[in-house]
Amino acid sequence: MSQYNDISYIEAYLQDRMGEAERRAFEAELSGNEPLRQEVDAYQKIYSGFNALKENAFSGQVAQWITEAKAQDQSNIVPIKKGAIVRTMWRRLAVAASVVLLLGIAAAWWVSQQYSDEKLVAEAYISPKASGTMGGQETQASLLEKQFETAHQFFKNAAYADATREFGLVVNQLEANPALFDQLTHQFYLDNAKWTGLLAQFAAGQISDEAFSEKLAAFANDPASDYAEKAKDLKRDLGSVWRKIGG
Amino acid sequence: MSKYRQDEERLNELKTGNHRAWKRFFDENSEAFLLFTMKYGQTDREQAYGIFQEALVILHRNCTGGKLVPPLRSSLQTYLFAIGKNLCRRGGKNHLQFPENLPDLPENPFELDDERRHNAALVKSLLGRIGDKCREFLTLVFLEEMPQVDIMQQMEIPSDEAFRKRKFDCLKKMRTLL
Repeated sequence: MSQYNDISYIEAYLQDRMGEAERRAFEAELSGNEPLRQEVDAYQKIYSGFNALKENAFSGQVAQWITEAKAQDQSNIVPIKKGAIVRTMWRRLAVAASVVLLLGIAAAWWVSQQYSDEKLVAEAYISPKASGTMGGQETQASLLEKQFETAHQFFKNAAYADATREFGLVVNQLEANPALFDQLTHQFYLDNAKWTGLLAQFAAGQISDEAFSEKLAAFANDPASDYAEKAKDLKRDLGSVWRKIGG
Repeated sequence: MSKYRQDEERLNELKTGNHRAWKRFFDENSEAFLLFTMKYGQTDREQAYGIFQEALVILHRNCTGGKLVPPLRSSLQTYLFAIGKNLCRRGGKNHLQFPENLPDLPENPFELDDERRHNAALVKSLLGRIGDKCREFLTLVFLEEMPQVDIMQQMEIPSDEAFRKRKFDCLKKMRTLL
């Protein structure tokens, strides 16, 4: 009987624990020793079966680890209660609404500033050139000139009601005394007093938007008027949607 | 010196079947493997877990069976991913594209799986027919892989020679029953 029939040799061969020379010698014996071949085949099944069982056990262990890992996956997902969703949603909506409200207030404030009565008339206002150009009857003309300057001063100081009254007086005197100044000077003071007086009346809140708009149209439609362009711009701004929002 | 010295040290640890070493390997590689499989294998997370389990079993087989030995030509993680690639491509999914740097490993023939299953069932059956002492002894030696000294202490085996004799006598019982 061959020495290789000892199970220790078969085990070493099946578990690949033989040296190169020993393995070659064993395989040489195997090729000519059928009973040994049968023993090796039989033990190969047994060792292979043990390895497979060991593998099954390992697979079961890995399955257990995976189950734990999946449970960990689930615990990593923060459960959100239905009520919490509602609260969160309401909170988000409230924050969003607040932001929109603040933006709206800011926008309305900005628009109201850009399209306020004061802002519109300030844009349309034309400051007269320095006085001293007046001539004619010295005393009455000087008084009228001073009244004109005073009216403008009221306007610049935002004392619109006072400015309205003063410009009205200037217009009345100019129309009552058309010979106080030369024609061009007269026309200049009259037009300017009427235009600035209208702006002051509007800024003082003494005239409705509609009435103001009609008077602006008269200026805008007069191609000879120095205030036609200003009147068109002002009329457009008056009807602007932004003024409606800001107002 | 090998480029993968740390992986070879890890391999030596895994070869022993050390439970903690495998658990650590599982923990360190699970998430990366799942993402890899979901991305390249076009699987969902549940399927990826299944493939991960299979890949680890194959790696375990190759480590403990002496198929994977130093010097390594890739990291253990790359090797594991290469196993995963083969598993993803099963069932006619050869069109799946994977990173080019993954090594190509030979696929395990299905017949071997059948043979393994058959032999497992056979040994399980034989263990039930060789008596309690031999069953307990061989279970400790081959399945639980308990160190020899611990088995000798637990089963009151007086010497190495007695241990060796017990082992081969029990195996011979199984062989006789075949």
